[in-house]
Amino acid sequence: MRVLKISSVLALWFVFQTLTCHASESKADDWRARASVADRDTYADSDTEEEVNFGREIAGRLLGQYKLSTNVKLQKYVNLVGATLTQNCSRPELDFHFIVVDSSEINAYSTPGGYVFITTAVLSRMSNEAELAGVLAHEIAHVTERHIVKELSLKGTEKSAASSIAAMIGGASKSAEIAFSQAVDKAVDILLRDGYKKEDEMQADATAVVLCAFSGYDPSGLVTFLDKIGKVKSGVGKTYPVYDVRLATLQRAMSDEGIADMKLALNTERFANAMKTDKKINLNPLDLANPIDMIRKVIPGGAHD
Amino acid sequence: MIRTKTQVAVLLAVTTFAATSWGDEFHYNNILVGDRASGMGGAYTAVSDDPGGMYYNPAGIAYSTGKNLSASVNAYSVSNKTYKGVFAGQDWTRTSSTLLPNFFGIIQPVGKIKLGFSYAVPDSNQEDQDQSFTYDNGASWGNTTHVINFNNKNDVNLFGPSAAIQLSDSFSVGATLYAHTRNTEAILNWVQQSDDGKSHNWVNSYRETNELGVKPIVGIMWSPAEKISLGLTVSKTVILRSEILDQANQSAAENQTSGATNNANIVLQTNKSLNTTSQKRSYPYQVTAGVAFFPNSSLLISGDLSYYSAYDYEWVDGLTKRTSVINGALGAEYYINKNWAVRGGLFTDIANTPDLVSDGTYQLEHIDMYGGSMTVSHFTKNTSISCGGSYKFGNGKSQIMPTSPVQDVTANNWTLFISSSYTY
Repeated sequence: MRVLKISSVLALWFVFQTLTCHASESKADDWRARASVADRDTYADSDTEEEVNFGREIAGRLLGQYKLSTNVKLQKYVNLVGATLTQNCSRPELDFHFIVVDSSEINAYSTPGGYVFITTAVLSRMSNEAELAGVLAHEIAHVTERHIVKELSLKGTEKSAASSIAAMIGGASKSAEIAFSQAVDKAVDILLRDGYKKEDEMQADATAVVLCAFSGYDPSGLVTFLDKIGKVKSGVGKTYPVYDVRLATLQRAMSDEGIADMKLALNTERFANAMKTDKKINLNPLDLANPIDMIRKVIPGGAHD
Repeated sequence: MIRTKTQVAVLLAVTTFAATSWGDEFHYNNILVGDRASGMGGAYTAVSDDPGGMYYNPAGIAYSTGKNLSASVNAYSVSNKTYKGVFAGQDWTRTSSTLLPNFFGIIQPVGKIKLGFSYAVPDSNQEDQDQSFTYDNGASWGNTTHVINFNNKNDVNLFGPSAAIQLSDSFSVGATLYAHTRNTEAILNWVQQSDDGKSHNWVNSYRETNELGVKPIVGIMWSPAEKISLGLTVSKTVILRSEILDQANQSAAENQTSGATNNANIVLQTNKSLNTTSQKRSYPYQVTAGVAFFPNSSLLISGDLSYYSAYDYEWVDGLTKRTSVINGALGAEYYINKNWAVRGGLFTDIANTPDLVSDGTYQLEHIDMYGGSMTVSHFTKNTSISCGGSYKFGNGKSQIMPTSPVQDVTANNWTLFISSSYTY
């Protein structure tokens, strides 16, 4: 009789468990995922710290490939526009740095942690500050949406006792260093060769126009700029998706957000003045040994200066 | 004539002793392998979505989460076997223990393919036995003191790469190519001395085997419906090179008169030199089918059925025959919350030797074993630590002396393990 009771309780428990959908359950096609990874997409301070370190490493690599523009006035101007945008972005914990590099390639890049690169070729094809804001906001969105972080499943190193024991048992500490280095390589490949996933680009566009609108910039700036460079046959960065599809998707997103018809600041004259200025400084070649120091020298205080 | 029988019986006993002691080649489920799998009684063929999957079903690693994943298991295992009434009604108990790194595996995605490397120890034991006792050895011997020193080591190591690819949302294939090594060493020193000093028998034997082979494992995993996973694997170990070193010596005398100098009764010294042969052991085909049910993110239930084919091969001790075996396993995993999970499992470990008959000779022991396992796991953001154990037991028959009556034998094994996995 007692066995029967226990069996009944177990059976009821099983039925309950089978029918109950836990709050932590992820999407339907991810039914193999266990509860222990339910918060895989949540991020702690240590994750942000790791992300910034990771992004700094990639920024160093990019600065090894591109020449930093010595036009201090332009660097500062781009940083001011960027700082205006980041005031309204969804990740206030990050210090963004905006870096102009001398290159004939029409492209902009951003690394995890907030290092945003824009080439002089891109700037030369812009007509106003709203277009600049649109491009910078697009790159900011890649950072705030953690596109590379998610693609590479970056997580901070745990410092808990349990984690240390697990790493010790598993002999994983060295592996983690190797994995970090491999991840940097992959991130550079994404930025310079393979490009983001199509859906990441679309999401960055949609986030960017909203961010521009929140910051007082005309959201059409990104549209007009994309339309402009979509007609350029050469010199466009290898990582951009098909423009007509992208533009159509972006315009739909703007309609959905109710910002398609907003008429906000273009700041054409201010942009033109900034582009005319060409005050250069001389860099000590020794600064090249530490690209991040070099950025700080050219752009004191980054976006918050 | 009586003397000759005694000598032959004892000499042959050496062989039987050694044969019964080599690891546990009479069972296929000697040590549960893997981090989660160990806690689930090895019922893992339809789950296999972590490094342990490279051993159970390589197709499963196509579903592994995390970009880089490593896992390791360290186990302490103790086995006891008691032969009932072997020596004039006295039981004989043998104990083996081993502490070993039981598993290590790492998975890394390369494009759409998941690549991995793993190392597994599915069978290992180490006996170190010193035993002495006295019993009445019969008419011409009377009370006799026995001293047995017995050392026995056996290790099976598997290591090699795995690859898996998801061909569709619900179907994946994978393969593991393990290098297989088995190294055994058995040393027996057995002295019988009658208390009147007139009879003695000394046996010393040594056997070492070193074999190298490959064990390919091919697996598929299919989800016919949401939350249901089916797995199937086929594997077989093929020995490419084998070396057996064998040596046995005996000196026996029976009922010697005091002061005799010609030692006419010292009758036998045999096989003094170390023989080397290269006979290759065979292994069965193994086919395992598994089913797993994932009702929600906190509960997982799985079951496996494994079939091992019958086979035979020529060996140092003559023709070796193994019967077909079917083992089963049931396992469950339950997450109390996202930081804690418990796992439990039940499994069988059926012997691959024929049933013993009462009038037979030179029969190998047959013990069907049944067991359970349980682990508790603690998860942090990208690590997990599991602690737990397994226990199995069984009753069977044995014929420890080649021509002695069949004895009852009981066996049990308990294993404690601590494991970790790390995603980075």
